[in-house]
Parts: sequence; C-alpha cells; structure tokens
Amino acid sequence: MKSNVTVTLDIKMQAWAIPSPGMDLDGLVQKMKDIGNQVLEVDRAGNRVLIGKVE
Amino acid sequence: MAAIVVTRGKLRIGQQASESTNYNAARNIQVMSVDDSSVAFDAADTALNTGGAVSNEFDAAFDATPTEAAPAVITHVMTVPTGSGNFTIRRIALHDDVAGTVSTSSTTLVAGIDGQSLTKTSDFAIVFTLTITYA
Repeated sequence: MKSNVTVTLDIKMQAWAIPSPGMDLDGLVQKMKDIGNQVLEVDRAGNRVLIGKVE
Repeated sequence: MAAIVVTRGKLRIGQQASESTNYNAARNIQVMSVDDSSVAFDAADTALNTGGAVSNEFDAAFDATPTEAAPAVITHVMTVPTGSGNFTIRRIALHDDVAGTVSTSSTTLVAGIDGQSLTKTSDFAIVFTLTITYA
C-alpha cells in the first residue's frame, strides 16, 4: 500500500512595541509615526503598540 | 514576503519528533533572530546568510517555553530589548540551537519570515510572536 501524507506548515508573525521606561504610550505612537512604522493597534491596557503585519 | 519553514527545518522537526538517526536532544527550536537583510528566504537556505551577507542581526532564546493551541498551533515569543536590534528589521527567523551558537552563518535556520520593514530604536522594545500551524 502507498499512502501520501502532507503536512502544511504555516508561519505567521506579530510585533508588539513596548515603550522604554522614559516614554509613555502616546509618545511611542508618535515615535512610530516619526520613524515610519505602521501602527496597527494601540493596546492601552497592555501598554503596547502593534506594529507588525498580521496575516 | 515569504513565510517559510526551510527544508532543513522540516527535517529537524521530523528528526526531533521521530528521534531518527540525527536526532539531537539539544537541537530543539529555541532561538529567534531578527536581521536587516532584504534577501528573501528560500527552501534550500540553511543559514541566515545563505542568500547573501547579513549586516545586522540579533538573536535570543525564547522568553518562555513555546505554547500550544488547538488544533496544531505552536507559538514562540522573543523580546528584542531597547538596547538591541536597533536597525531596520526585515526578517525574523527561528533556529535549532542555543543563542550563543546562532549567528548569521550558523547552520541553524529552521523557519523565517522576510519582507518586513520595522525600524527599531532604543526608545522601545519589540516582542515578536511567531506561530507555526501544523495542519
């Protein structure tokens, strides 16, 4: 008997930016704009900004 | 952009799961790297620099043991601290050796995502979450 088994490996990435101790979240959002990073989501409760591309 | 598990990475996954001839208990997937190369990953790649020299790279062990979710998703997390990786991050990759061994030329590449463009500065850290779905 011959049988084929296919396993598809799908890989995805997220990138959350966390401000340094000397910067607040609004400052980080502005910083992202200044340096050209796309802000996809602002998580105020988590004190972080999603800048990675979610696919 | 390519998101790819390279051939040697697939073999490593199989080796570790089946404990085949070249199984090595120390060579599990344990490190994530970021670099500034614009070269796309290819299935035949074995190291970060297989397709061309890499100018800037940072790697570190995962923040914690990778987690699992149904039906077959494994999540890997690594933090690039404020003082590191301060360049344009274009690729993120997984490796099957310890951080002290992983380099731009180490034969440790398992999987990677290319075609990104994230400018990193010392004003912030970045927590990268990389998932592999086995389906």
